[in-house]
Amino acid sequence: MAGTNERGFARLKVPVGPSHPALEEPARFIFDVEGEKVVGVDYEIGFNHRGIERLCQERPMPKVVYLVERICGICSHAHPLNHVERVEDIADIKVPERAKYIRTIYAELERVHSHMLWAGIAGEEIGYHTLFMYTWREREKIMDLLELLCGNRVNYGCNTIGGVKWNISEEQLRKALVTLEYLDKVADKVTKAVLKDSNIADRGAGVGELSKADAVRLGAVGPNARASGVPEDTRVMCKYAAYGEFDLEPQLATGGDVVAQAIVRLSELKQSVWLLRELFKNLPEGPIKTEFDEIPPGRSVGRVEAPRGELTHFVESNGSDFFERIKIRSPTLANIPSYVPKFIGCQVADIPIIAASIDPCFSCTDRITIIKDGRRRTVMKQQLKMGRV
Amino acid sequence: MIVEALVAIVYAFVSALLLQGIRRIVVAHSQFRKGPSIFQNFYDFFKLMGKETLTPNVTSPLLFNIAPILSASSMIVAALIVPLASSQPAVGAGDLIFIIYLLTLPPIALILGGSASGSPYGAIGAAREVALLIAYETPFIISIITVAIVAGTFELSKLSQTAYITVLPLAAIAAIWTLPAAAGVPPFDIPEAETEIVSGPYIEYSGPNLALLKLGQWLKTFIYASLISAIFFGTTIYHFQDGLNFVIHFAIVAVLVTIFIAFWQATTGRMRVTRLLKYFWSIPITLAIAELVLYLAGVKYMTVISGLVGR
Repeated sequence: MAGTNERGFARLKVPVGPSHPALEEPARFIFDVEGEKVVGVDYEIGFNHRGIERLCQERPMPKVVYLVERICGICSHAHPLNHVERVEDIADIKVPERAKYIRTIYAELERVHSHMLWAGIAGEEIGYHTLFMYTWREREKIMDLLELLCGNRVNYGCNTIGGVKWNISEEQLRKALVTLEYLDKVADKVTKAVLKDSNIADRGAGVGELSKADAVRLGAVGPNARASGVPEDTRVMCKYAAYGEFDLEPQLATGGDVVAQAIVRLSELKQSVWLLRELFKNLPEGPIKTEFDEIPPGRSVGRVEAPRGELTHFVESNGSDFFERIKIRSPTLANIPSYVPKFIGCQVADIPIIAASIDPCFSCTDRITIIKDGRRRTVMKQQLKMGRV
Repeated sequence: MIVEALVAIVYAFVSALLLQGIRRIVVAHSQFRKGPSIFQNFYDFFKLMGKETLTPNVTSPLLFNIAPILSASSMIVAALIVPLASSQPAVGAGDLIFIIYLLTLPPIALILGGSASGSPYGAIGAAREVALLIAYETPFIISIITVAIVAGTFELSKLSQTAYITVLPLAAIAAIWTLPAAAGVPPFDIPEAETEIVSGPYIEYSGPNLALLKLGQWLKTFIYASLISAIFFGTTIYHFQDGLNFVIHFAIVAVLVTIFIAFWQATTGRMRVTRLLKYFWSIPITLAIAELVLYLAGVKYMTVISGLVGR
């Protein structure tokens, strides 16, 4: 357990995870700690491999939409949205405008509730329970709005190949605009509560820094990359669904520390509420679904901006009722390498807030786990390349 | 004598646990929750007392098992010395010094237990407890000693005859400032920090051992608040008859705890251990020392205030 460094300070190995109060999901970090300072870190993921990709190949195409919806409880719209867009791309299905708008509405509502969830968790990690209770209480308003729109709070079941399943009535639209008015105030209030608090500034400024060069080199995505100043937002770059109709600016900050992460997410919260109001006001009339015959053989790869960052789906069909191959890369997998520069040199007290600051979703991330002779193994990229697995 | 001692111990036990219940309810309400029952800490305590004690394969089982007893028993002794309402069964010439020593024992028990638990979380928690103890005890002791110097005595029964908040307000502010840190609740739950080091020193404790450690912490909060109330709000409580004085004493302590502990807990996040010393050794320690210097320089607030009012 213990050792000493060259100056004679005791060095402890502090394990965090797979089960730890600072982590909502299983992941394992092993920290080398000298006093209160972290001098080294190693991480291990793959505790929650569920074999989703394989399952996707084993059931008929319409059922896969429901399965990918259940990859993540928070990004439960981004996954099916990306999936159906890939299938529509293969089959060349033209989706009606109204359906595109409704998809975008769900995507933005999801971003709002995910970012509020993040603010609450970040408060919880630094022991600020009141912030957690407040943001999660206000988050219920969005959950109620989602329930009003589609009848579900978590898995909305709104996407289907060729369009959406739930239309938005006049009454729903009216109620949604009232809720959004309220959410606008909440966004201001949360922003003020987080960015004006001296204790949060003390806990967050300079904690978990990531330079722009490091963010690019380690392939950070989403709010994590934008907090380091990388102007990368898939909504702006790929203009999927109805995002092409609106002029969005990527919300940027510098430094990549916890305060920068908060600035990015809170300004996105504000931006999303604005975008939602525009979407509801400009909702075009028309059908919500296009009929189609069959899915021809083909392959498609594409990206959407999940609340946690760039989500990549690859879909290959072979003309039968089953997919040939589905590959999913969730944003957290791309963000995990940026943990290393963030953790080195931090205090033990900062571990939970840094771990939470990139908004990790480990269960959605795990695509592979190797168990050989009854033991879990971690494989390095080099070993994979050389075929020594 | 024995009856008085028993009354003091039972009163301290019941009100210490009730105070924690009140604190939890106040915090819950400021967080839009309903909170637990006011008797929740009684339930927790008696449930834990009935459970099995597990001693892990640790470096020192003796230290590990003696720490909770040390924590709780030192606070029970302190309950006999500190003026709780009018009764003060054990009185001595230098009891202020003795109680300052006793109040450091629960943290020391936590440090011993955490270090002996053989867990890295316990070791880090113990190190943090040391930092916390040094940070808040120093301004507290300086402000209390200032009062003692001004009063010219170390006897609590004499100190509690005057409400020293009117004479030495800066020392009172400094002493009350350290109250949340002594209670070990957010933002000063640094040694426990469940999201960081999973309850730190408490991590390996279970059953009666955990109950006694927790009891030591709860009693410490109560006795700390009682000591502040006895020294700084002294005269107000001792002019009433038996029975009513307990109610008034409890009310004063409860107000101290809810205002200075619960609201503080509800409105901030946990402090970093690196900020701790800077935090306590800047304003509170300056206030305490300034008070001493001002008194020695002969500044009398009452004279100054009455002079201002008269003008």
